[in-house]
Amino acid sequence: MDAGGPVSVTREGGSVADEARRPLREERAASAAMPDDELLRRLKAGEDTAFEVLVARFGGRMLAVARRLVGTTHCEDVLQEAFVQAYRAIERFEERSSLGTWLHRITVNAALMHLRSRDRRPEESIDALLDGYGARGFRAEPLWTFPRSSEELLESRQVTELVREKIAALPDGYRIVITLRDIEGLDTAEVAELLDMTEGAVKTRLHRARTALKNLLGSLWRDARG
Amino acid sequence: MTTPVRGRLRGWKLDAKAWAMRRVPMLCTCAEFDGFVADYFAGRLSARERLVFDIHLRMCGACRRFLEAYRRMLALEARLAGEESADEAPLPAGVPQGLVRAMQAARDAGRRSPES
Repeated sequence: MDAGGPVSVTREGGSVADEARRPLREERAASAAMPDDELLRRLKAGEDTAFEVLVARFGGRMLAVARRLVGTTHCEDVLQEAFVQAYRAIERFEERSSLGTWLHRITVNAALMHLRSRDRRPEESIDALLDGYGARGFRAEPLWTFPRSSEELLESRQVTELVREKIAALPDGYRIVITLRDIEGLDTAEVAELLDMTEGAVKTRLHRARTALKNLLGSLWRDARG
Repeated sequence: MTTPVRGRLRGWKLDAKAWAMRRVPMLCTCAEFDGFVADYFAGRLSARERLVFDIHLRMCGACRRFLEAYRRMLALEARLAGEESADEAPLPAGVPQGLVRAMQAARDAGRRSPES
């Protein structure tokens, strides 16, 4: 506690420092409550306050999206690129979707651009993770099944963490498709457009990714058949 | 009946089933069944495709078990998607200011060369 000279006191009994902070707190509270259309108007005008509100309001969600697609090492780079692209494109935003949805798409695009710019390695095969077919063409079953008791496992938070971990273990090309389609909730046409693939190719890739994920998850609950 | 004979009979039965799945109309192999699965869960099978799908499912225990495991995997994925949709990653210290500066730089660059 400061044992220095007397503190200046206002007529209302608070300190001068408190008085100085009150407009700033009120301004911050007003900024936080700013509706999206007002935020848009101020962004288009290039106001610094609008940049701060945009980051505070959407930065966390956009970072989570970036992290899901590119991992923790490069997600902040992708996030910065997404915000810059969003600012540059703000005049073209036609408000056919919400601002949050639009920013989500920009973040996905920035993440995909980042992935494309990485060193091009040969795509890892997913075949080893898929079901095989025996000599007569029947499905060759793995030596495990989901035990009937797996329903109670659905209640455990550890299970979703395991799903997240196994999705991350898929080869990149399949991980991206299953993340965009099943986790980010984009439809097949949107994924096809983003990845410059046909819808048929997206569906095939998605099915193979889901089958591989099923097998990766099932291997956790190895259950001898017989 | 001795075990080797039963084993041979079972093998002939499976051979016949495999032959039928490849050649008899409205039947399909497990690999062909796989091609229907994504559209099945998306509700996009035609009436004919749904019939072929259902017939195979009645005949093939392995594909019934596959479909059940696939369905459970989708339920787990949906659960994860629900959690992720509400997910926000805390911005590390310094990052918000960096993001604001990046947008300010883009704004200022735009003002210096408006035609670019």
